[in-house]
Amino acid sequence: MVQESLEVFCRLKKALGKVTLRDLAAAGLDPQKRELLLKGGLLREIGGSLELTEEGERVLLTHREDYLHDRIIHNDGSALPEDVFRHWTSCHHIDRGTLKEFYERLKSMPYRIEDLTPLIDVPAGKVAEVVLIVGGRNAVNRLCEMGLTPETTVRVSKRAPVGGPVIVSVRSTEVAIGRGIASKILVKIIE
Amino acid sequence: MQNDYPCSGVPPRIALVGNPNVGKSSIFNQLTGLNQTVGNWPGKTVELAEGTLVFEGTTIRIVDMPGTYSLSSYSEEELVTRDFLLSSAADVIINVVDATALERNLYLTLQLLEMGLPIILAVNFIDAAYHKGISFDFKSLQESLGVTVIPVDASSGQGMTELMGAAMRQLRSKGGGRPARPKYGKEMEYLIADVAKELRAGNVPLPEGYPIEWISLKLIEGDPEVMRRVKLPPDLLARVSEKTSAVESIHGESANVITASERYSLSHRIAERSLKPKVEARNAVSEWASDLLTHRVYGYLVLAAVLGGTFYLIFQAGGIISGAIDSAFSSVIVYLAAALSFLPPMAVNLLLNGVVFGIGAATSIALPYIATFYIALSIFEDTGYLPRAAFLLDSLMHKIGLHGKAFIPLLLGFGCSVPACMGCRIMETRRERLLLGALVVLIPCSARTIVILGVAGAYLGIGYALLIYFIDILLVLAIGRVLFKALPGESVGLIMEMPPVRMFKPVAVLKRTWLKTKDFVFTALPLIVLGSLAVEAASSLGAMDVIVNSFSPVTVGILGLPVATGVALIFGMLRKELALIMLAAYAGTTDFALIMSPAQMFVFTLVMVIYLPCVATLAALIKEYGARRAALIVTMDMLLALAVGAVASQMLSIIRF
Repeated sequence: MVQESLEVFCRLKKALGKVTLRDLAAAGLDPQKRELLLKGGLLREIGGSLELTEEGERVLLTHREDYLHDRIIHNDGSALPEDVFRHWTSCHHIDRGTLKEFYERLKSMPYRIEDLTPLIDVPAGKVAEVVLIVGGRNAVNRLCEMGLTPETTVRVSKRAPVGGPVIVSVRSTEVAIGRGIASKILVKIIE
Repeated sequence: MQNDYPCSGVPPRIALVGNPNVGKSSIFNQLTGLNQTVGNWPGKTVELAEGTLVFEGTTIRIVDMPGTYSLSSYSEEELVTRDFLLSSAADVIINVVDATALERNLYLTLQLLEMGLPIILAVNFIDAAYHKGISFDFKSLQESLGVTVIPVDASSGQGMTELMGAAMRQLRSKGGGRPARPKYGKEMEYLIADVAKELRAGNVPLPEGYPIEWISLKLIEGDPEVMRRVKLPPDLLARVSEKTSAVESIHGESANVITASERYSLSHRIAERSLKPKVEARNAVSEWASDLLTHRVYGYLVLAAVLGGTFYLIFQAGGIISGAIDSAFSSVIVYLAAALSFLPPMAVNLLLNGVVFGIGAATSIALPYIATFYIALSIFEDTGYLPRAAFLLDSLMHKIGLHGKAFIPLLLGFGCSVPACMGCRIMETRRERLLLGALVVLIPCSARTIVILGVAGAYLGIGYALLIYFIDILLVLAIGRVLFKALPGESVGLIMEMPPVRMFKPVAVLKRTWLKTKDFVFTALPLIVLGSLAVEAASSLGAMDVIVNSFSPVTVGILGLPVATGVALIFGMLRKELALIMLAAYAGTTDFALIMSPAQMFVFTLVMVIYLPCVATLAALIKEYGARRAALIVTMDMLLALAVGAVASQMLSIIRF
């Protein structure tokens, strides 16, 4: 119940920028649901407008991923569900072509797409395992030559400012990978 | 470079192969000293440095191959290295590896072994590895690979005698003791054997000297170059690709990725066996420095300070040395003029104003500006600063369709356009190289900076000089953006190794500076002397006025400049900073305020900075891109200079500057 109300909030937030309780009422949430949202500590008021609390974000994320997982598991496997696409484009800035490729390739692999993260979004200091690299033959080859073969463990040691590359430690060396390429490498965060 | 085999009279040749940043060039310098020449592999723009060394009474040639991570045929460097090694041009191959990153370095070693080449493994940076907490079991490494392993320390020269001793033993054994091919996973091995069997059964003619298993492996990988050389009959090709697809579907990866994984899992096992890691120790200073240099705020501050400081120092120091050299050459000319008075005046003029003046001009820019620039650059290279700057500037470079590494040739361009053109080779694709080549020639090199400072700086004030610099850099970005959109093809992303931050060795820096400066002088000097001779001949025949006047539609008509500036435009093709001296000589005054209004000075400087790169750069462009593309780049620069000059001239007259 709460999750769905949160989804409504997110949609409004995206459309309006600033959301007040009145907006939620206008969107069709009854007083009971509004009360529940506030009481659960999921939303807090900052000068009349509403914001997500940390817990709220967490709940939202789990909900989304469960939802996405369901859609993938129960999908007939032919087309990419629209909401999966939306999650990856808005959260991870992955273009549709790359996502389709991820999706196609993952069908035959023992991984769930929601357990994986593009390398570019891995926080600095985390260790991750390379699962899948898509993209041009040249880029994939160059990555493999530098040691980023599938199943390799890498540690993200640095992320550059907006739009910049990441530096990963792989096989005792450090490699800088541009944003475009790093968003086409799917990894599983280990620790 | 010929592919001669070792026989009496021809000294044997040793090739140094290895990843970039493994100290390969340091070993090369240790072995050959300053006895080196740089040559081109026929038809390719990959330079191979060759040097000689006398060891135990035998003269040996040593070739420093370009640093590569792999021997696939995706870049020209890799292809050249592979062809060179397979053509038996080298009698012994020394594979230099970095002890601190053995696993990654062995990837190349395994590929050399696949080719059945007789290699010697030189393990460098043992000390650094020890400090990192790694110690070695060389015996185990030797047994795992089946090749001789020699620990060396390139910076101190330790281990060089042992290395050469091993090479000599290898030479004397004459190809005996070819190492065994590394064995990969079962499926892959079956596949290789299968394809080799097909090749044998089909009686396919194979290029000589290429092991059949290697060719099979390359066919499985779909290596375009081997596919081209080995002409498989269609039915055989179909069978090979069918078998390959079967293995690909088991692994869920392409054959290339499978073989890369196989190599890495083997190199991982070998490294595990031969390394004895102690406690994980870190080099705190190096890591702290690396962290600072790539920091999202401080990194950029350091970058600005480093670049600003370097340019300031170069031009301060350069100005002093350049002045000293200039005055020395002037007194030489005066002295020679008196001593040679018995010759006809025309010959004296040609000799002095052509040859001596040309040499003087070349040294007075090469030594002070180019050499100091190379010192700075070598320090950046050795400390590992360049890749860090490239990392910081990656997003900016993407705006002009290039990636972070493009920053390096652009930086070189501020010193001299010639090495900058050659530096464009670090880009991965032809498209990137061309795009970058068109941009680096627009960067104000040290000679153009002299013009900017000498005219705009001296007469209009430093603010206007900086404004011209700024306009030029904006132009570079704008042109980059336009070319990026106009040239077909996709932009390539950044994949770049970040070597650890290290302290540089002053001796190594000076040695490399000397070699590079020497290289520059030999390329540029003949062109400059010839050019000076031609102009001197023209002026003593009275042709100068005619030529200068023929430029007037451009100089006066389009740009609104005095007729005399035609001289500067002509000389600017030879050497930009020479143009000012020539203009002064032609106009009969060194006070440019007498011949140009402030607005004209501004336009003049702007045009001088943008139009035609000098002769030496033109030669470099032709060498790198061929005559047609070089002509395209030059035409673009000419048109750009005219357009910018005309617009500036109009705008300045409107605002009554």
